[in-house]
Amino acid sequence: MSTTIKFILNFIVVLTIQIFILNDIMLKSSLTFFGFPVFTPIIYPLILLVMPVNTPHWLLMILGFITGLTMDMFSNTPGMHAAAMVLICYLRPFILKLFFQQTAKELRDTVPSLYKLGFTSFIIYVGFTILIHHAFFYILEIWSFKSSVLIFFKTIVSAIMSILLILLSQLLFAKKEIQRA
Amino acid sequence: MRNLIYFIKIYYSFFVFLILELICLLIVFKNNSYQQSSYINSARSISSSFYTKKESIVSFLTLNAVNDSLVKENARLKQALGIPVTANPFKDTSYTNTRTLDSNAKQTVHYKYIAAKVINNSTDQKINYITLNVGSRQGIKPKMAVITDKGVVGKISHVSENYSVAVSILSDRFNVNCVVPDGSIGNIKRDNKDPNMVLLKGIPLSANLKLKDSIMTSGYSIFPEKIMIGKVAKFVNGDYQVWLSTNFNNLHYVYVVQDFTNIERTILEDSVQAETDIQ
Repeated sequence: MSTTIKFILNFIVVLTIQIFILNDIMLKSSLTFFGFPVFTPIIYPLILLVMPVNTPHWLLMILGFITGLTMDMFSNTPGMHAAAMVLICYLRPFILKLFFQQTAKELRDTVPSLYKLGFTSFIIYVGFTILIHHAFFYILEIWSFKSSVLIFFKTIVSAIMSILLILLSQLLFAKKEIQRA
Repeated sequence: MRNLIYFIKIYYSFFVFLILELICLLIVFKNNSYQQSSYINSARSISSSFYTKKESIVSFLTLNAVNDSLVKENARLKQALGIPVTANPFKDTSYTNTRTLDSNAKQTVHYKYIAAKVINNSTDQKINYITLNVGSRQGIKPKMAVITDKGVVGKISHVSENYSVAVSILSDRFNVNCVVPDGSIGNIKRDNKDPNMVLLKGIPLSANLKLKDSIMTSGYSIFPEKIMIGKVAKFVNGDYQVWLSTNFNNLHYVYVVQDFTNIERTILEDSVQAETDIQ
């Protein structure tokens, strides 16, 4: 399957799940016992996180921009998702460099999936990007110093839920490949 | 010059990042106020047509609960008004209500209620929007009040031809004027933590509020008089927490209130507002 088709399929499926199912889940009543704020899990950055390593940097950012704008259109947050997506798409090659210390020529179209990176590296990679995304998004959305505690809690709680869901989706759908020793 | 091109060539990704990020932030800060019309919201026809499809599936699953509440409301209304039952109640979903206030019939209250279906709803954001399947074709205009049979919901902010978006009272900067049983006037503000609660502010101690006292709208704001807001649930250092009577997590049908009484009043109040803006 070519990368383009894979991206379009990912785009449609993940955004459908995000917009029509996850945006409606208010994980609130069961979790408000510590005065935790309401939140929704945000998993759509996964579309860009599993692009091949050798995707051009500018293409990645433009695709992230489009994905974010689509998300904005459906959730009444003009520009906020798009801004967060562009930021993590810009940072992605630098974060990936921490995990792939080989040259770009050898990697070619490796997909940074759970089985390719290994469990620990994948969690660190996804956790880092998702945390940046959520923090930037909630800062833009709430936009006040007064509620910085609220921003902090919203980021942490949403990020934990999002990372768990992304791990689950990877366990279910990522291509299993036996690693050569 | 060659050096400049070389510089851009090396750091081109950073420049692409800067341009895209600037576009995003421009969109964010241009649409900051929810009164401004925004290009990216769910009243646009593409996203709302998707939401309509989704709602048609989801609403099928909640038909039982919706039916129950509609039957109950029908029974209550018939009991209260003695309206004759029309042959097909779904044919005409709007009705008007005229009530005379004083004996000379100079002041009449005249509301038109337009039934609408909620096709998208959120409760966890800073400003929460509700998308409705009625628009300017059905006579919806911005600043109209939105209520349910149980209580207040919000007010219309954006209108397109067939859809409209309302800001719910679970939003920052959304004030509702309300009245408590002894007649004191207070303000309702959002409680950030819980989507079922709002804060009641500005009530003097002499009002002597008790638990489970009901809070109604005072006719000062866009809402009609005596629409239920909720019941007092808790005292929190000087303010009161109010348990909303509307369940925002389970919102399916609402009424948009068109207020014919208030047209003259709104024009007068807007002219005062414009004058104070100039000063």
